[in-house]
Amino acid sequence: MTSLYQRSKLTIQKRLAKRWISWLNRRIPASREVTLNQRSIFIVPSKTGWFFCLLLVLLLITAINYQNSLIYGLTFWLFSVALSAMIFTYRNLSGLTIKTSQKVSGFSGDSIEIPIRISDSRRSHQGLVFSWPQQTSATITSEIHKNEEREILIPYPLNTRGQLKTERLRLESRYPFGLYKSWTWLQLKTPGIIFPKPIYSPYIAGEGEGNDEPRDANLQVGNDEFIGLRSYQKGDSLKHIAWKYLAKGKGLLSKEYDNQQLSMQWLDWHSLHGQGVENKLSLLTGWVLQAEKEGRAYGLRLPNTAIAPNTGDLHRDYCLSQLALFGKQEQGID
Amino acid sequence: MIKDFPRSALIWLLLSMTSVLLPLQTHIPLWTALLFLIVVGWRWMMHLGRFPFPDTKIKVLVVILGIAAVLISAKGRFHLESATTFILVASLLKVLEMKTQRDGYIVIFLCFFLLAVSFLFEQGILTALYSIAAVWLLIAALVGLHQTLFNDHQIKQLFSAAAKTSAQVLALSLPIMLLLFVLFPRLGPLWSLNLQSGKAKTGLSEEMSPGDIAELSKSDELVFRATFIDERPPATEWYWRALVFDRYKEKNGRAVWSASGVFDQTDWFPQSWQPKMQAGVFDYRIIQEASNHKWLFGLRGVSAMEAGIGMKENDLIINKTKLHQRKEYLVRSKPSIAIADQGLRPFVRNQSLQLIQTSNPKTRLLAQQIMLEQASDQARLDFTLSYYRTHSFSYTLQPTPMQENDIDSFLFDNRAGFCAHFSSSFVFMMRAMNIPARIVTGYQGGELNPDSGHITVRQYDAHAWAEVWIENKGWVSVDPTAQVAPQRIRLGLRESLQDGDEFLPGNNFSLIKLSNFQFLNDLRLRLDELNYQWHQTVLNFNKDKQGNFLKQWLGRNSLKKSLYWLAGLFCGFFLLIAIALLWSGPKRKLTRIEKSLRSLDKRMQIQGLKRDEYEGLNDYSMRLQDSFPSEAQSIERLFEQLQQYLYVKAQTRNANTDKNERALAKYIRQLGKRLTKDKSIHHR
Repeated sequence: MTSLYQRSKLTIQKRLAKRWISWLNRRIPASREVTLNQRSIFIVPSKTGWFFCLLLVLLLITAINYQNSLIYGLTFWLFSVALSAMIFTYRNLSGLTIKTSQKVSGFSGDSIEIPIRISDSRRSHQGLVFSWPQQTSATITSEIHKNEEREILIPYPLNTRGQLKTERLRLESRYPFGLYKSWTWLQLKTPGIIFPKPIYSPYIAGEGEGNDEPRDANLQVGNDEFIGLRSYQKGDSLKHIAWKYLAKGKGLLSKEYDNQQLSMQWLDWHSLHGQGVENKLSLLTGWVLQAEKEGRAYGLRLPNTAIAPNTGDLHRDYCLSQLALFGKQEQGID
Repeated sequence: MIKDFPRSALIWLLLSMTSVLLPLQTHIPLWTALLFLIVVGWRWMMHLGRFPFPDTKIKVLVVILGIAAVLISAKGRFHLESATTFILVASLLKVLEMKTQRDGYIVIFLCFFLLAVSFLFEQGILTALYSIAAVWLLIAALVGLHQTLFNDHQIKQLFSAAAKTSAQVLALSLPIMLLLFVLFPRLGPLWSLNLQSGKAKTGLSEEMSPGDIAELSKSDELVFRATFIDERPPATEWYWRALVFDRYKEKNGRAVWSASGVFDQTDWFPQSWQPKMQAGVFDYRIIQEASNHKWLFGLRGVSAMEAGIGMKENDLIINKTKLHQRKEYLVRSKPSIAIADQGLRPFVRNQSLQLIQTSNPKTRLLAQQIMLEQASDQARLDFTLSYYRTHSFSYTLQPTPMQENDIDSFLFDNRAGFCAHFSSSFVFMMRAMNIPARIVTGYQGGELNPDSGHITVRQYDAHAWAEVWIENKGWVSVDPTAQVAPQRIRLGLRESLQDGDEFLPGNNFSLIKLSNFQFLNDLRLRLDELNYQWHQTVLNFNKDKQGNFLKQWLGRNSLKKSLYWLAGLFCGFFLLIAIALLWSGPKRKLTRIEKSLRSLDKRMQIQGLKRDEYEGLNDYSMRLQDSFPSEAQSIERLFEQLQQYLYVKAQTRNANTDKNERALAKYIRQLGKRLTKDKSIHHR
């Protein structure tokens, strides 16, 4: 009996939660820019507000018992202030525009700082507290002046790989009197991608490759010989930039190695047997990072695509995003 | 969530706290002021980082010391002052450890309560005005608690923001406050309060020995205000009766007058006697300050006119309970009436003849002499009165102290005294002549405000006179002081002592002392009138006044209606907010360009070429060019212009901007139309 009851209660709770979320999605839809208004701001008395109520009751009783007009006056004035405070608290969020900022990326399991931009041309806002409701991580308190735009970085732990899809961000404010708390749930479409969590392990050469490619990539390690400098070209790995020269003011130069061809590496999905999909992706991610670090050219072979060997940050990011979005193509990459 | 408050909030808190504690200081022990200074100094040093925050040991020690100090200074009695001291010390100790936002709330809320408590002590119009500033500071402190510091350089900006917000919210709240003040139903006290001020009030006491009333003449404290409703009797008849003393007893080596209790029978309104309204009968309203006593004030021939007021046989009115609060009441008097003309009952007669047997032999001798020389009681009375006039008595507030046989030494040695001396010696002589007599104390005269017509009676107007029983006439009022110092009666104490230093000695800053300067005196009278109006309209806005006021505005059943009004106003308030919110949501008005772009979007949607949310203008331009090869050039040009415009707009605006904007918007619309008709659409 009890278990049945509990189950039904649970489902009711779940159903309510579902309803709440769908209502919220209709009311404050996900977007890249939100201007807060009466549709998106919630407001209720805070704990302090209830204590203030208690104070008012106490004052009223004193006024009645002592038949004191001035205490009546004070009580009514403070009560009236408590009502007006609602408008002031609401105004501190109302009109605030919150925008997403540049694209972010990171590895699953890491924490990144999600940048958002807040602005308002009409008034300044104080005591804005940003937090993720499900994370116990620190909250960020901020404020902006009239006509100012400010970027705030909010730490966010990354979980599953794929397109970044944050939960709703809570923005709360109790300014100016603390008698009410007003808040909103923001679903910001911050463009971003979460790469699989890298697992570092030695390379395993792909199967069924072309004959001229060496079977064991590790043989090539250490053969990279520095042969000289050339001017930087788009796509060159950052690892190969001659930072010392740059610091001396001699411009952006890339170090050239004679064995880039030799150290070419195919990172092949099919070389990994008997592992789960996610594990495979993690291993491949580790390889990509390793290969990029070692400065070798690498190509990535996935069941549905193959990326020709290359080097450089752009190449690495492309590979990583392919890994991140593997099997999640319904979301697409434009 | 522990949040430290910004530095500016501390300054607000200390300021507002000071403003609340300052007016209380006169009513609570002096050591609290010292504690206050120590706490503020200590907290400020913490703020500067010179002292650390107190640890638990110090906190416990300080709390124990604080409680001990409160208990010791209360001397085991629990009254309003000790309760106030307790709350005050608690809030001061909280200030010491105040660090987080929550501590700030506690201090502010305690201060609000202390402010209310201070209204139990003082309620004048200046107090009220001062308190507005205190409330403003407290609300500003509340705002300060929630401010987040931009940086330390902007502390000035934070200050002005808090000050402004506080003033704004107070101003915005004023109308609702006034409405509530008028409409909120006034109830009687919910339970009887024993927590009253323990401070002895200056004023008449229930005993009198010669010398007492001179003390009162040093005080200019307000006793009551009176306003005659129709006719006003002449000033020489303003003898406001409060107490009748008919017992004469030795106490601690001094002869003391007090009430015997033979007149304790009280007729309560409406059973009490009431004269009919006619010529020579006066109606007047009195607003009496709290006295902590039951007695009320009235002219001769007084009668109770309100519930809760009773009348005693000796022509006095009293209140049912002690006056811990100010009270306004209506009185009717018929000064010409003969009191107790039906005869004197034996025990009253005995009481009114009682003397201390062995005292003042010289006075007794004089009385015997007069009694033998004069034939009737009336003649004896007249002769005794003239005795004061003919034997060069003088009126002074600083007589030489007299101990034993005080009346002898007054009548034969000093011959200088004030009303208490004159009246007690007179009554003594009358009794010694076997004529029933008694002392009446109260106030005499008062200052008439020529503009509003109200009479202000202060402590220095305290007076004592006599009543003598004359057969067939009843109790007759006699004022022996008037024989010696007629100007005291005619003009009042202030005028009669104007040249000397006797008036309000040691009270150099009293406004009343400045009445010689015409301008200042006018100002003083103006202020007095203002205070009178304040008392009558605001402080005494009680159940009856509210009822009358509402009846005037709302007609019958006003209490019920006022509640409806109250409810209606609240609904209206919220409705207004809702409407205001719906009306002026922060919807930004679309610019002309944005509107035209939106219409382009709509047209393109039909073609399946709507701009993506993420798509930049450049990309979109390329996409459109691909899709409409025939229009590619104009699309490219238009989007270039558009981008340039959007970029430039952010930088500068000049007279041409508007024109360009209009042209650009037109082009966009035109392009939209053309593209819709374009059949060369090229789907990828």
